[in-house]
Amino acid sequence: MGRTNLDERQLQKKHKAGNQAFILLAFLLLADMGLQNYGIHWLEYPLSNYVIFLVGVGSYLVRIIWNGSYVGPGSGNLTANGRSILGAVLAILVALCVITAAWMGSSGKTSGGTGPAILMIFTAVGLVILGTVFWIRCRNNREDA
Amino acid sequence: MGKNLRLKAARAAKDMSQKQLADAVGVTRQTIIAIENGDYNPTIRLCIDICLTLGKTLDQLFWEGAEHGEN
Repeated sequence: MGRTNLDERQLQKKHKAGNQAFILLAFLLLADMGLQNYGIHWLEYPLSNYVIFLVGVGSYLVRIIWNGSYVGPGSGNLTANGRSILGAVLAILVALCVITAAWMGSSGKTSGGTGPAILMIFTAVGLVILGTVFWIRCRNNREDA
Repeated sequence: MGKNLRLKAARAAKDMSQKQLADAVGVTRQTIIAIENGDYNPTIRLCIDICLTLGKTLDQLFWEGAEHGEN
């Protein structure tokens, strides 16, 4: 088993969550199609599919984090390289966040494009993922008998 | 599936924490907690690894007949 691989319980939980998220996705897309046929447009076409996709992926992500299947065993102690890479990624994300915020502030959001907002969301999500991984590692490696 | 108190006792007898046992058998601490609480049914491979680490047999740690007075 590799350093970042999941153990058997984590894999079992992850597969179960994945299967159910896939079924949920299929069901929601079908429901959306049915609503469209009846003339109920709760959201415009590409956005509605994206929202459904986000719901499916979001539920999958929340469930694997909740079940402790996001970070595998043996990834508790970071090597010097790991720390360097993590630090670099964190620095890049924070820098991107600051630049984006400054850009949005200076342009006064008058450009009308969604680029800055997407960049902001991307960096925020990156920071949230890093924070989650750090929190899970702390929880997994807590010493108690 | 009830709690596996024999596993907990064997681990305590070896003076090992859940984390130490988890590291020794290559799983997460949450998996050991789940096995001890009876929330997860481990594979035979993991059972053997746990037994080897704790110096016990499969019967001593995982056979439920003894607990229910069947053997």
